[in-house]
Amino acid sequence: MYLFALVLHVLINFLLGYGILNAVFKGKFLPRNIFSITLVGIFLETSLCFLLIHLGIPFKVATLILIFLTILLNIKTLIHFFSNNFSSFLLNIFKYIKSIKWYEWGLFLLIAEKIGVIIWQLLRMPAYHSDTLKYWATFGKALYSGQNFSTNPEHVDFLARPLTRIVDYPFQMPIYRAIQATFNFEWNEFVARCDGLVFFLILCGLVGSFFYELTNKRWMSLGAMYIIASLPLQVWHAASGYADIAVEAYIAAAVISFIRKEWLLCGLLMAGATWTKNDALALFLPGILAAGFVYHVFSKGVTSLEKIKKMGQFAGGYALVIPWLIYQAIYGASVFKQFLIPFKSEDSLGYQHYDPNDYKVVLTQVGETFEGSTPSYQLFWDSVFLGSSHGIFWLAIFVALLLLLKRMLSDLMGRSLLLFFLIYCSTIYYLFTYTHAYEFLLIQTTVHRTLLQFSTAALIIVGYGMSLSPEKHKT
Amino acid sequence: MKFNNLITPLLLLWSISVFCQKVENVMFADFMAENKVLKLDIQSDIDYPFMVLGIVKENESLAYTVDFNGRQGVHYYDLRFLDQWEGQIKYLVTNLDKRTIRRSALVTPTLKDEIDILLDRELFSSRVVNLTKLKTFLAYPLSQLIFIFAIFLTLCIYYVGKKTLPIAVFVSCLVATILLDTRMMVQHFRIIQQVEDKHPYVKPFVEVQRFLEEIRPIIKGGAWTFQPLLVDEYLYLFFKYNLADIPFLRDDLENYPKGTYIISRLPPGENQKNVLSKNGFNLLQQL
Repeated sequence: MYLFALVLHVLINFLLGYGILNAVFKGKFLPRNIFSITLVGIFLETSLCFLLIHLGIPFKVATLILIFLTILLNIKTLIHFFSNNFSSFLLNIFKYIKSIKWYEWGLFLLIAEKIGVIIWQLLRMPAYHSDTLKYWATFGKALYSGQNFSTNPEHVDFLARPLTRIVDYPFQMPIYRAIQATFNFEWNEFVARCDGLVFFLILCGLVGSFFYELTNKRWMSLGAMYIIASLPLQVWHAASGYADIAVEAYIAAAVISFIRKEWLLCGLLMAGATWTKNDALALFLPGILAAGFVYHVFSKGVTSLEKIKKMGQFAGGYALVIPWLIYQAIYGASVFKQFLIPFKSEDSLGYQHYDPNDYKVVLTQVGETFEGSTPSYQLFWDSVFLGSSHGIFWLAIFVALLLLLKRMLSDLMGRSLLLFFLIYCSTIYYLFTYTHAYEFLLIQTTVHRTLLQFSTAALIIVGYGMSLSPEKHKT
Repeated sequence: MKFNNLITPLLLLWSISVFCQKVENVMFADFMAENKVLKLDIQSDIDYPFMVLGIVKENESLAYTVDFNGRQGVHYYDLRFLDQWEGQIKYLVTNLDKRTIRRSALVTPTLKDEIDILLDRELFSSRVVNLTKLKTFLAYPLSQLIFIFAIFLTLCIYYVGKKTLPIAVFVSCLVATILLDTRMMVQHFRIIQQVEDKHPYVKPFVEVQRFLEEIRPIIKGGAWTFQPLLVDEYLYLFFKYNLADIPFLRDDLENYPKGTYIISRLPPGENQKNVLSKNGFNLLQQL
């Protein structure tokens, strides 16, 4: 029952994304975009729901309105699909399964083990991890139950803050869970974290389909899926109720859209990532903006007007999250405040005023050397590259990029992706060296999951580099 | 005694990782680390007791700590990956109760002992979302060794197998990943066993879960809160999540309205009555 409700919900997400993109943006979206469209659907569903509940519509009614809207937008498509394509669709799946080779089955089984562990956790364990209990699931449960929750800023229960005490996190995940509970007719421990399974499968789908598109080799696409699925933290994140795996999925999809030059979709996916967790805004947006800018400025054979139009498509997609950023700045705490702490005097920090005694290590890295503190580059090397949390993944990514450097530098898209990669790495280094996040690098609490958010995108960038033939010069 | 001067920094550091457990046991003093590993014979009623090993070096005021899940019987614990595990070491200490350690020794490991270190298990805990514990083999991080193997395999596939470099890199990374993942899969099944043994309760919430089962029907229809700062932060979050669908009153109020249920570790105060006590928690009601 739980799984059926989840499958139904994901189907509604896909149809909502597909329906709105077709109806409003008149987009021509291909089957290869099925995973990205589902992510867009999740973004649109949760943001529309947030809007509706702010208009005073009860939460469960808002959910029903969205389901109704989805059916309305897709009624023609659904009738057409079930009357003409459904049987051939099933037949194609059957043929596909029959053609799978033994070694592909091997890889498939390795991935299936991960899915099994995730489903086991969802069915047999309660919400357990601290941030899930602190915010991601508690907010959703309060919203679904209607207790301890209000959208009125004057109300004591405004945005469940007495329970969560968090003022700056976005709402996508809690709203999604509350909607899932509506599909499920009750809140339970499965609902509290099940979106992780959806994002895990979307990640596998994104990587698999993209590698297949690049190589036309099924074993390579399964291999790439397996590399991502087997990252040690992935199976725990897929059932932990955290939002990092969701950010990972949005960023991976955005990078794929970037490579495919689907600028509107890329903008929408970046907006979805921002609406999921602040990390997307602070860590990923600068890189994707810079990469997009470089790509358009240096692309040849395109008029300035066309370039502006393409950049406008990205901006148009991303603009959907701007109301949230304004809302966050008015009623919460903008993420920029935290990110810019090292540049501010303590007096200007406002709510984020911190006691130097609590963050000695911060001052260490920001200012002069603090006796006994390990430099952040050494911590990165010891815990990220040589640690067990990512296996050999990051070592392999950096070595692969070095090997592919010449090819990627000779290709405009390759250069743009490299720029994105470098900006992300610099931002991460800055964050974990010059802000209080240094402490989290020191005790390894968040650094690994922050890097997990980027892991699939990094593999996709390497995959793109591998697909460039040594002779190819597309500049 | 010099060691007394170190108690404060030790406790400060350990409070982060062992949640304020006390330093119980100085195992070795004034020894050379060389290539030795710690051999312990543990007898404990607790499965895999949480154990922190700390190194205090001569002329340094810091203790370098590593945590382990102690294993019952004779097993080996590796500290060689620590930069500080070299030369003269002033103290090797642990938080583990002296009575649980039957024998301890510093030994140069054989291959069998190295395999014992490799097979050390990691238990399910709240930190699995943050990091996977470092695995070592022959004193080196396992991922480093596997990476060297992957480079060797790449060269073989490229030069002997005559495949293109991208294919060689991809295949060798895939094989290396399968090798590393095999250990993770064993780990998954061990964790499933560990959790299933206690189902539907999970550590460290067992007492809270049992308490919640009893208080939920009582406070449903009322409002609830905490007596501030009397519950561990992590348990506090677990209560909040589980009771998020029942009206919550801020826990920093001076006076609770009549009828409010209060979760506390203290006995009832003035104008309060005890409704239920279980596992160290009390459910009080404001009169």
